[in-house]
Amino acid sequence: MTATVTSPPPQRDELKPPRYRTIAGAGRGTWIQYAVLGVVALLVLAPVVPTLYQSFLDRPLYEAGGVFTLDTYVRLFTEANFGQVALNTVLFAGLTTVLAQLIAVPMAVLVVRTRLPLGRLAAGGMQWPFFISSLILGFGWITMYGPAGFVSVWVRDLVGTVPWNLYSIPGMAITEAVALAPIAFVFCSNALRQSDASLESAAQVCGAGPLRILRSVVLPMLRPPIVYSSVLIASMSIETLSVPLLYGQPVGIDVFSTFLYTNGLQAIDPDYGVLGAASVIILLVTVLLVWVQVKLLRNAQRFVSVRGKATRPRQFDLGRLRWAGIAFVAIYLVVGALIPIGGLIFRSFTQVFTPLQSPFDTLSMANYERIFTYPAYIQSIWNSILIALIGAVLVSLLAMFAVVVARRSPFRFGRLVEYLSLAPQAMPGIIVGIGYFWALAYAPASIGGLIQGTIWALVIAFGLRALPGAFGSIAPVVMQLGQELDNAARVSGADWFKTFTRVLGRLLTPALAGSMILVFVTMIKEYSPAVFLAGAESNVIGTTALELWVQGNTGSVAALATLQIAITAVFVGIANRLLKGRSHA
Amino acid sequence: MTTTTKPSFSASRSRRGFLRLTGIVATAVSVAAVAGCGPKTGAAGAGEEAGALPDYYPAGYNSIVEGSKTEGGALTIYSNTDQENWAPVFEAFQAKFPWVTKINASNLDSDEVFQRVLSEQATNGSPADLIVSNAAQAWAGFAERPGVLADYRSPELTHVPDFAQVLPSVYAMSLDPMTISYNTALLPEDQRPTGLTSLARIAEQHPDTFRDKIMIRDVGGAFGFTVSYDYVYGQKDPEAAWRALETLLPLARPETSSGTQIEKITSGEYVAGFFISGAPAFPVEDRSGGLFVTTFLDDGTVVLPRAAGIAAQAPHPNTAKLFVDFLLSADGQAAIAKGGLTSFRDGVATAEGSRTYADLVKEVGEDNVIFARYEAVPEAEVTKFVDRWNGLLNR
Repeated sequence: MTATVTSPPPQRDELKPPRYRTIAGAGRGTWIQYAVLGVVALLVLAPVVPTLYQSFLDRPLYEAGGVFTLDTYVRLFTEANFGQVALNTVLFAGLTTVLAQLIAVPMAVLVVRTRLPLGRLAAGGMQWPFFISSLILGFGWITMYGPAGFVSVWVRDLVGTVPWNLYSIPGMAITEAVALAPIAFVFCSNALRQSDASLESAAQVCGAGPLRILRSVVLPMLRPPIVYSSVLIASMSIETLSVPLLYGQPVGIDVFSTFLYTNGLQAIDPDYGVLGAASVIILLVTVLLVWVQVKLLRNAQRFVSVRGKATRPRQFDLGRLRWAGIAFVAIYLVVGALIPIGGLIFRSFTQVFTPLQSPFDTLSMANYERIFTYPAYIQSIWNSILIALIGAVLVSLLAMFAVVVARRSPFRFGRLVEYLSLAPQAMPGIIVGIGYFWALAYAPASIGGLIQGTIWALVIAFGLRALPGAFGSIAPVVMQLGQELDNAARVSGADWFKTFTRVLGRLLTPALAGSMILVFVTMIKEYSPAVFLAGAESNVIGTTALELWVQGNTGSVAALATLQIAITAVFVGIANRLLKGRSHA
Repeated sequence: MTTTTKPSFSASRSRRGFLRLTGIVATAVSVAAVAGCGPKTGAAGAGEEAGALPDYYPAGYNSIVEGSKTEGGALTIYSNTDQENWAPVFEAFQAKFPWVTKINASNLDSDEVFQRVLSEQATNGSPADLIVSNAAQAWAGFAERPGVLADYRSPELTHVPDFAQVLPSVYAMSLDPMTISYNTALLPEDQRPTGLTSLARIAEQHPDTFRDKIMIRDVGGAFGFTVSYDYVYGQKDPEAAWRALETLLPLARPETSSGTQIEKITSGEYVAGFFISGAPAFPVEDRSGGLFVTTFLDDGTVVLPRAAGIAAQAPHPNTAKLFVDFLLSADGQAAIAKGGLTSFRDGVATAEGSRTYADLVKEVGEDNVIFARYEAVPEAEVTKFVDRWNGLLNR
């Protein structure tokens, strides 16, 4: 398997092929591949095994004398209106995915591949909604477009009625789609930046115009990022709690996550067995989605666009159509991001924010003062930054190794690595939290005690939740890299790991940087696993926001969200600057 | 990163200093008030003076104090109570027992407090000294288990109302009143409710103002169930309460958190809502400039005790006992009021942004105060109530 050259033929010194040591009969590549499998498996299985075990027990894990039972599953499926809940969930997740792609794909093509005035600005702005947790974004939408929102009141004064209803499945789906579209956008634009100009030139030679090239060449090449991001978005919308809870609860629309929340965690006597069973069902759905994804992308060769010969992607000129493109980008940015986020930032400087009273009457800095008065709140901000920074580096590196092992190695269990890396995408955060809690409780005291209740527990749990996103952002890029690049290195005598560090790794640097940004953003707004895992000293921005929220200090929640946006913007700005310097390398 | 600064709440010097000053004044006021109230309330002695204990504490109490000094000055609390509510309490406690330098209070979901302790006690042992929650049903279920709570009888019991002991060894530190709130921009003077009966009467006359604009707490959740169930069955005539609900619930929508409730009334999405927790609502009333008003219910205000109990495996049992006694003491109750929760000991002054139990009784009368019960309701009864309630909703 490894290219161990035992007796190199005599050559000039500087061209001597490298020699690689083997450890216990296997090359370092094999060791690294097993190590990646081991790390990913440990990360994923640690919370899954206790959950699976719990789902077959008739009482909480901590109680002695649990008996094996299938009753939990029977209870889950016979629970009143489970059918309606399942239907709502499918509708919500399906609609969200479709809408998110309808927003993201044209946007990515427009911004990356056509000459658009202010295109760079639009590319940056496109990602804003993703910077904010959907709880905050959902609330921003309600204050603007809800039944008594600023925009709704304004429209009602104008035309006499509000022509939309935010508290409906389409309303939920649009909000969630705006929140998740940036994922698809990032995946697609990464792929577009690497696309192969020679394919387009070929089309042009055959007489195709820009639109025809977009439709017949550029879009089909986007299948890997679209499939990866669709699966990710679908499973994230199955798992998401905040928007369905904010919009659906008052009008009685239950989806799977709110059903779990009300019947499980908030219930008078929480049934952990049924919670476990529900998580197992979600896991199965995810595995199914990942399986579909793998099937759809089976013929990976078709998507190769980066070959041995370097080309430079060029931009199309849409002519007059570009104004339609600008309008499309502008509407999304203004309606989806600018108005709700602007409202949120404005909210953070006011005491009372309602269309019923001029917000300028109650301008104040009190919301920020409150946050900076309590050391526990300040600590939570530092914790979040630290966790996101550590996580961004570790998770992205792990994801890159996992992708390369899964897609570009002779490793026997490569496919398993891929399944494991994508599995956490629909594990509800709260279940991840409880699962790790149990895993740490049962771990040898030295390990468990060291991690339990510290921010490392959160780095691990948040990192697990961010892993599928990181994997998904790197994998399509790897699929675009021609195999001949690897082969060239191998022919020159490099072993698998050398090929990785000298060829693939270099080509993947932009994707790695993109993944770090994605992971950082995902982790800094993450909170649900922390609800169970955080100790008194390891709170994060999300848990603090939740605490302020429940106290009715919505202004301070907005202030915290504003701080989080500022932190993210600074990080993304720095990362992009560094990335710009390196991507031409 | 995780090494905390010693006293958990000590930063922001200038503001803290100011708070401490007002604290001393508040304590002085409360001591003065207590002094005039006869033997039942008992003077708390020299308030802030370190280590000073009320004279009615038993002679052996000093062993608890001495024991606490050997426990390393730490205390770990699992609570569903916010940092802001705790801050003045910790500060006053640390002023009195200066060797307690490190107090950690996690803020968990109401039920998780118990799940976490049970999980930890079953495995590596739990670091929790004290458990504080206002989840009445969950508390009842937890306290039923053998060996999870330490037996402790507080010497303060003789000086606080009887309801302070909600379960054996479990003591209320505050009472959270459930209020009715409304938006004054949307309700003219003559349409502002004073209770459920009054709200039902007004809503009957103006159905268009109130359709889909009354907010309730979701009874599917433990909190919503407890306060709603206790409101109905704490009445002398529960069927009369149901008659009011039959008018109100078809116009109502359920929400799941106090934050959402308050924000949506302020924004005008709802005109009124009931069973909104007072602790978060009162400060909002103060800063909303008259837009958001919250009041007690004149036909029955439910109060939900927030209770503390010492864990059986508490690593710092003596400090935990000192803390429980402090929560019930005059100084502790004053600090609790300052943190925004409703304290109940006689003679505690009302602090900004909160109300005391005395304020509540003065406003609605003792007969109209309903104590949420710390006992488990049988599952069949829960289902029956939830079904009847949700059946009335228009959804």
